[in-house]
Amino acid sequence: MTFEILKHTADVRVKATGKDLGDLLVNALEGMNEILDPKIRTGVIGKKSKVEIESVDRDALVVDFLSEILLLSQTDKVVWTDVVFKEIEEKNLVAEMAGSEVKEFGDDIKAVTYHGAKIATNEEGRLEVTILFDI
Amino acid sequence: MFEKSCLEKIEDYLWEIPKSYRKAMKVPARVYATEGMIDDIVGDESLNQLVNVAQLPGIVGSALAMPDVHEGYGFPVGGVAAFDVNGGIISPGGIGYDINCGVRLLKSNLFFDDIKEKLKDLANQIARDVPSGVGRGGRFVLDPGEMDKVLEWGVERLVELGYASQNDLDHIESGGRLDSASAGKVSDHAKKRGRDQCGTLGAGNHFIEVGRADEIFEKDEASKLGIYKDQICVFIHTGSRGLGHQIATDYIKKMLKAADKYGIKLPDRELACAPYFSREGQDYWAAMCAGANFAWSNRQMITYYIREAWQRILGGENDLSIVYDVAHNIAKVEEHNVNGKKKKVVVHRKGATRAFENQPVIIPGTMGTSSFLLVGQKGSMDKTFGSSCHGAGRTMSRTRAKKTIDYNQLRKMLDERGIIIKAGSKKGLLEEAPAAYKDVDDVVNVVHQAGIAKKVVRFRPVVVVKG
Repeated sequence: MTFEILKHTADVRVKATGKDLGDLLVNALEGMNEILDPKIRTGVIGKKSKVEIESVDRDALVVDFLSEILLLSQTDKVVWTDVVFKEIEEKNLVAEMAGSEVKEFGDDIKAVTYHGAKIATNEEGRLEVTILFDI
Repeated sequence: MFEKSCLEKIEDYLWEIPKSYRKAMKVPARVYATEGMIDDIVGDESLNQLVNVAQLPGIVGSALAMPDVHEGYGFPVGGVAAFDVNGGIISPGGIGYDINCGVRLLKSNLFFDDIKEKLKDLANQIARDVPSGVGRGGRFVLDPGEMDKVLEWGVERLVELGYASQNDLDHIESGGRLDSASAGKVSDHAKKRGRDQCGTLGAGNHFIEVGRADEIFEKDEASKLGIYKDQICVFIHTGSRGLGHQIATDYIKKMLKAADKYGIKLPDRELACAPYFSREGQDYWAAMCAGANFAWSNRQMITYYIREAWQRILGGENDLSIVYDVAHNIAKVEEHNVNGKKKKVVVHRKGATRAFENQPVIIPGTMGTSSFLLVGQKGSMDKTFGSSCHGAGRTMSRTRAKKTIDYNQLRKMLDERGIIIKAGSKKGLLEEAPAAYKDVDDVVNVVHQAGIAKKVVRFRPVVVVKG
């Protein structure tokens, strides 16, 4: 399992796992993209972008990374999928992403929240985090 | 989950979690509900979240939950908390990501029989003229200079531009402008996210509803507000769109650092905060006020489009006037009685409506049931920092609603109730089905019985437009 969508009364939670921090971030992003439900515009050239994030700690880094990508998704109307980390440490990262232009998103995400976002190691030895999205 | 036995019933409809429940609590936590509601409320995280709020620096009175409370993140939705301006905090999570999400009620001079044949045309025209749906931009695109004016001047700027009247301003909470707003405290990212969203409804639980005044509970109060049986009114429920979401995102990140700097222990990171009179606190306050001004402007532009649609279909004079426009996700600096003394406090209302004495309080229900107009009572000033509930309150997750509610049956039920629905998507309609919410009548009865706000008019929807 790389991610799964869990129930919440009003919002949506995604539980993601990964073999390391980079893998965890990519899988959490995949979960976010599933909620966004993008309708991809075909026949257009792929898009590229870059993010640089600095956070208070590793838990916040996941949330801040997803928040930054959410912003780019909504302002550029692009679903970002292929992520390459140029630098990744506990509190900061530099990533380059490629993605596809979308006609529209099927669902809105208002924000990525810090609520309960705590990275832990699960029984299988993988990193695991649950992210709550305000929708 | 919360252990029901830890709640003590202290009045009819009022329950308390005493301060002794957890060492770190600075005040008790209180919830307005019936016994039946309590059984549901203890089933999610709402009350644990309220207990966390009761631990924040400078909180006064008690941390409060309204009868429509449900779990959020950090603060529960349906929560009210007041913090002393001196020594207390301000927390973006206590306002929420949709800054100044709220409801505006417009009244027409027409009655149901006057327009029943034209409702379909009206629904189509409103759906055509008001942009709605996920990420949908509108025709009112703000260049950077104009954006800053809207952020700082709110609806007053729209009066200058010809989209609003002085009379409109007189019927909006705070006159549609918080004068502490500073556009300079709003990031370029936030401005970019909102540049084409002033005058757009969005998606989720936001809607425009044409309703019929179906029951008048207080004839004198209703006629003071110019509302009579079977009169047609319009509800607009939306907020500050992507601009507000980004302001909250930006500042919650900043507040995480700030909380650490000021030595504030956070029981939940979404409660990130800073002292109100700190640099970080004042920056957020100025940005939140700008977000609130944007939201009032958003509802004003939607009003403008609805007035155009109204005239196109029904002709005649522009006859939609504002009854009131009130926020339910906001912080306000207000003076309240705390332990017998007047105190200036920052009241956080997250999913709670301001309900000052004699002020109209607008409570939307779900698309298939009812919405209410109430008037604030003295009890709200004495007990809830001038606040009331904000809606029915979700009880079923969106995912479960999509899985368990049958689309055809839902359409049939709405048809049978004579409700015309214009929805952007099947998914959106299912997520917002009445069965996914508490019974709004029960919620409103609690605030009525508790002396917070009294019921004046109940409306039944005849047209609902959703993103």
